[in-house]
Amino acid sequence: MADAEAMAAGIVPGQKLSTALGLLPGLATFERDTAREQQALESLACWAGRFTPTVSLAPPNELLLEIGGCLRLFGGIQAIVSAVAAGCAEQAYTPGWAVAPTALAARWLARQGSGALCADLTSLHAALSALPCSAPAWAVEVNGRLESFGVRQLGALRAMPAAGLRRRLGNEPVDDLARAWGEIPDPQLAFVFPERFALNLELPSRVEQAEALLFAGQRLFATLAGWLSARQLRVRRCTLRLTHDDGEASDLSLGFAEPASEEGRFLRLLREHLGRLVLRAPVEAVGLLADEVTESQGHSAHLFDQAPEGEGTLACLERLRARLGTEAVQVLLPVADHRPECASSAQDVASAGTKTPTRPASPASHVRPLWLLPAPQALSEQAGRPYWHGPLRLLSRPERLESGWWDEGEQGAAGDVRRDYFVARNPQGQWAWIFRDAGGWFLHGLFA
Amino acid sequence: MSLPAYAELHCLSNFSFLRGASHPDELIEQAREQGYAALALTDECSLAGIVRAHQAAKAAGLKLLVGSEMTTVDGLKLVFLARNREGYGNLSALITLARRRADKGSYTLHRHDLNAVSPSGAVPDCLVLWVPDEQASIEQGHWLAERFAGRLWIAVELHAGPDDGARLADLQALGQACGLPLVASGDVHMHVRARRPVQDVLTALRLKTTVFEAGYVLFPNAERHLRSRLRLSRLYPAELLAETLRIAEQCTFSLDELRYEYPEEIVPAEHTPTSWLRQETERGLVERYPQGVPDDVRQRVEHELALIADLKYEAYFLTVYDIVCHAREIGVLCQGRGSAANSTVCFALGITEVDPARAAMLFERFISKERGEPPDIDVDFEHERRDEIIAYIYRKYGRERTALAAALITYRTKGALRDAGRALGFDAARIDALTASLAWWDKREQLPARFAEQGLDPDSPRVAKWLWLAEQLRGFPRHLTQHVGGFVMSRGPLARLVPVENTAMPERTVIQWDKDDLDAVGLMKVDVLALGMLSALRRMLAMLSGRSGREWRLRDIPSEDPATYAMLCRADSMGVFQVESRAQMSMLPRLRPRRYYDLVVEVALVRPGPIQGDMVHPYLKRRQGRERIEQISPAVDAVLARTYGVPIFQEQVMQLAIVAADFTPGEADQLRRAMAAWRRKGNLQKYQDKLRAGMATNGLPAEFAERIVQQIQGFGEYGFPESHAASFALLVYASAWVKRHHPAIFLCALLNSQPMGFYSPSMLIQDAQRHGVNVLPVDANASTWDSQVDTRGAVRLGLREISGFSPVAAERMVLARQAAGPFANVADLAARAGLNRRDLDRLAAADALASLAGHRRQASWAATAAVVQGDLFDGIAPSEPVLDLPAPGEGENLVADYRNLGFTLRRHPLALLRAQLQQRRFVPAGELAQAGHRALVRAAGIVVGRQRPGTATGIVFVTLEDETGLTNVVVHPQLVERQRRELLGASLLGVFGQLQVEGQVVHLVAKRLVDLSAWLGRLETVSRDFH
Repeated sequence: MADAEAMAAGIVPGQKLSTALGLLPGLATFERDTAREQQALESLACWAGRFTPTVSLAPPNELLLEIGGCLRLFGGIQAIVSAVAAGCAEQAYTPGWAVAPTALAARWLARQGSGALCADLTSLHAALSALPCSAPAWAVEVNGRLESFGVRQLGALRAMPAAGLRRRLGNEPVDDLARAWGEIPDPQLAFVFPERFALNLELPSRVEQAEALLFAGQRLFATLAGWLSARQLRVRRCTLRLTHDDGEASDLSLGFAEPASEEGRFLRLLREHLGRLVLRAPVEAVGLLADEVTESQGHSAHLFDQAPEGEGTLACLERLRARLGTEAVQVLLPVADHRPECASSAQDVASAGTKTPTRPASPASHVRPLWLLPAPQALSEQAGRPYWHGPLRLLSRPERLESGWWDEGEQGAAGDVRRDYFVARNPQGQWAWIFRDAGGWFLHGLFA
Repeated sequence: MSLPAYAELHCLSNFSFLRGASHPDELIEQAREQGYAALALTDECSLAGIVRAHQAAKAAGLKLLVGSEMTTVDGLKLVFLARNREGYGNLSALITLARRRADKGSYTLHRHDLNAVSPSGAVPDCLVLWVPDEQASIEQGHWLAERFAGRLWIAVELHAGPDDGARLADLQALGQACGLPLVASGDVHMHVRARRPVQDVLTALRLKTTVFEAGYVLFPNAERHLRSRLRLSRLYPAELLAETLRIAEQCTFSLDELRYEYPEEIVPAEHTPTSWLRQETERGLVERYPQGVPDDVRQRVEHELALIADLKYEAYFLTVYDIVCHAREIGVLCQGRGSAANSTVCFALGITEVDPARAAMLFERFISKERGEPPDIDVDFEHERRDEIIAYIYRKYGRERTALAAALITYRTKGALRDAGRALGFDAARIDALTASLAWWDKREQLPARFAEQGLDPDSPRVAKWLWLAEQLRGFPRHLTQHVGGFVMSRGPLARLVPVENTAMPERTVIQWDKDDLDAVGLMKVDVLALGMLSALRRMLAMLSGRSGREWRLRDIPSEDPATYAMLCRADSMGVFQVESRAQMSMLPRLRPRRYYDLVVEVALVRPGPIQGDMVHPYLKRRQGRERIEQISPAVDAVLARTYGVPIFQEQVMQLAIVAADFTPGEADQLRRAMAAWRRKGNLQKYQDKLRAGMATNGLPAEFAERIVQQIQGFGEYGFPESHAASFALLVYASAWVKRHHPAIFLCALLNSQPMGFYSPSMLIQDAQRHGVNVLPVDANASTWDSQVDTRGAVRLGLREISGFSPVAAERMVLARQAAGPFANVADLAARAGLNRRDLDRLAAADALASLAGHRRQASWAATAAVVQGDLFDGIAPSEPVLDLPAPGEGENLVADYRNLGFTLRRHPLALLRAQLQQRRFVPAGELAQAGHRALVRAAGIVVGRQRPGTATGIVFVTLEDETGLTNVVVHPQLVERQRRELLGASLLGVFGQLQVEGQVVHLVAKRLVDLSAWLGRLETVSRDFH
């Protein structure tokens, strides 16, 4: 699909990428993510729990709300429709919608984006008859046939002999018509509200000010409220988890003196917290977990078990980290790179995790010192020989390393190295790993 | 200190795809500069680059060794070097063996392939270097020594690794233990160390990774280049360097020793090639000249036969003759062209229908003793039946002795950008976006601008590297594929001449050399090409025969018919071979062809070469008598007389070089090759200097000389040879004659030969209708698969016009009709022809059931029910009440016609829109010219063609079609940029512009474009983009 700006430039769904880019060279393209679509649909279903406990998913992008039983609660069709529409808009969705006595008809009408309100079968049949045959989204083949018969609208289709249609189109279209018209029942599979509430929202762009999280927070709490309502629960404690752009997360625990279920109350609390919060790093995603909920009767339940504690090395690392500070404890991981300074990288314990480092296959005969200097140290030269606590004696044939052109000239990169390395010894008997390049002699490492 | 002598024995070029990072000629040049005694090119299981290396080595005066590196499946890495012709043949056969059993592009060498085949061991007459890896064992050494006794060395390849000293000692110990001598070699992958980034990128691409992630699979340094002898002397013991020379001395083989031998079976046992060629030529002459051979023809034949015998080219002519004879036997139309094809001998043999007497061309112009180049005959066959000819060739000569020439695919801008970007770790979407944003016409210089458009800063280090690497990769060979039709046939096994490998098509094999390589080594190939117009012409001739009751051959078409030329002068040439493009159409009324030779010129003139060389206007002016033809010198005038003093053909340029600037025929030939390559290599300078100097010596005016030099440069690779134009002109004439006198047959033949040519069936049908042909719709009760001319001279369109319809279903329908008469209704059709639901759907959609079921909707309704179930209830038609569906409107029918047939026989869609168009003052195509030169007008039409010739800098030509004809629109570059969207996106385009009227040629120069596609509703039209 394309947004309004792209449409204006002539980009339409189904177009070849190269054509689209030809029309609008600056076009940004994204791949469709069906998993996230499904997730979005489910969270919207949770949210819709505030209106009715009977919600059905019609993937990929349709949601059915059975509102017959709760009309009075909300004060009539018009009111409930307005509430749903406003709620969607708050979450930045602009759905097409329709109200109809049959589920299928509601879906077909909603796709037309007309906002049809059909309270009874008579008005429903009139509205359905005027729908184009494309609305039910039957198989391409069926649509092609209908077109070849010159049938454009569902009303005209209904008027054709059903037996003749069944022979030509199969059973589905004829049966669908009967369902939509309300002639045969059309039971829907109800959405099962999840046992636990945990929802994560990826932000469209990095957020650096806590207040800017309010919008996402609203969406999360709106969904929570729907979920609580549908499951007839209240929440006592929940956690707002901010995922930063460095992959770390900060948790914000929100407790309620009294178990709560109204969105208004959540938002007041959220505003207070966000007002005080200073972000330690930009935020990329916000999540909400309901940690402790009670049924409306007041029964409390722990939703999450304690995670198993790490042991051994990890525990030791944790202690080290606690004493020395997080920054001070790092893990060396080997990296396949010919440049010695790039052949290992120091990483945070946390990000390195407990993964067993796998050593990349390196040439077996590498001669490498255990200690590498943080940066090569220039050596003076005396009588044509490198000097480090005395003249150095070269003990090996040169090992030539020329590598790394790919990050040459980039910020903080090692860049292209062109060096001849030698193992050398000074009069004190210290063994050094030194090299010579266009800039002269350098000390790069020490053998233990 | 004097430097030690050295010969590099292990060196890969970029013909070891995704390994070597230098071209063969770069390696040769660098080896010469470093003072190497010799260089062995040892590409991995390949001799694909050896001919290029051979030519470069000859030019540089460097000794070249021919070899190949191969690794067995269990990891033994060996380098084979050919000692002599025998060794070369054995190596070539070994490469073929390893290649033929593997998929395209790979090879498989087993250890047992190296089992001794003769008392002298395996792969006799090749010297062998063993390149041991870290796990090399004494057993391996013994095993190899048994097979290559006395000609096996251990290659010591030191690259300043972590411990070269230890490595050398290990290999010395291994040599001692196995009793094998050691020799230095370099495992060279590039000519200079500066190619390291390119080599790294190739490695990353080979392993499908990026340079960032490739890690230790990249070489740690750039030592695998052609190192200076000073550096080698510091790395290697002197005796290992000296050993390289002893090996080089033993290898005396040169590619110059290859001798091509023709297959023997083209000559009957009791004949020599000479006597057989004589006999067959005489037989052909009798057929051509039943009243007796005229004296001048006799003279020419004698002269040609003498020349052919002198050059020993009989077998070549006979090989081609044999193929042509077979084609004639199985009724495949063919026509030869090329330097040797325009001989009286070829005319007599029936290889060509071009009568050399009529063409006023001399055989020597095309083939000369001094030039020593192989004769060149390309034979075009009907495009649909060329496979039958190829099958014949394989059958006749066997797989062992025939294969296709290779075509070398090299990196072009887009591919280079894509691969360089991939190796640098740019994400796929980025790369796609960038390459997609390159329009087909974008030039290299515009690359940085395109990068910037995509938000990539061309000056940032990473992006700058991308650009640089892509530039380096451009022109690198990427893989071998099959040449369009160049066959090489040999007397003995072909694999001993050149390695043969597999292609993507299982039944085809290619040799490892392309046509330039073959040319350079003096091997001859026969080009078996496919030409759509021949398929159409064969159909035309068949229909003419059917109508007249006597056999029509190409030669039976009346020659020099004034009505045909008059038609061409009107640019009424849609569908005619070669002269149907827009450029040709606007040339015809200016050139006004009146005889066959004018067509030869017409074919060659409208080409990028003559256009860029600025030859068109002088030629036309002089032809129309508006400019004097200057006298330069008798020799020059003789060359140029037939083209009014303007060089048009490639041959004229070469002759000019000879007569005006004292080139030898050999040098003239080099000039031709240089012309073909200068855009790639740009080394015309020395020839230009020589031309100027030569013409000055001969006292030719400097102004004339300069013009010739410029024209030659403009000619570039696009100069068209007269020898080919002569053949093409004949087909131009033949197809034009049929169009003029039998337009219905012409239309039928073109429709039945699709896809071919510039124009869609829709345009061809409309053109025929404008010429008074009655075109009848596809009808299930009347049509066959092909379109046909019925007894009243109307064209009945064939079922093949229905998109997605199958020929098998069509055949069953025809058989059913023949067996029991026309179908009564749709159910009858379905039952008797055994049609499935899809077939019936297609027929209904194409409105081909009108005679059985009424209008389209009704037909659809009937068709979808009339399916043969093939079950118990088969034949029991369920009774169904008649359903009356409303008839579709004209618009709906139009849309359905275009969707299912690609054309309509109803009114043109624009006729329906004419009232609306008139309101907005759009003028029909047919009335445009009346507005007059320079008038401001508006035109609208369906976009049926967009073309952007390489010669017209940035201009796009658009062809619009309405109910009255075609409008030619010129869109200038500024407008192209400004209205890209309308230009590329609109199917119905409105143009506000200014008319350019020149005689009968009318162009509309666009000032503004309007996309009117919405007016068409759902009308889908197909535009053909040409580039």
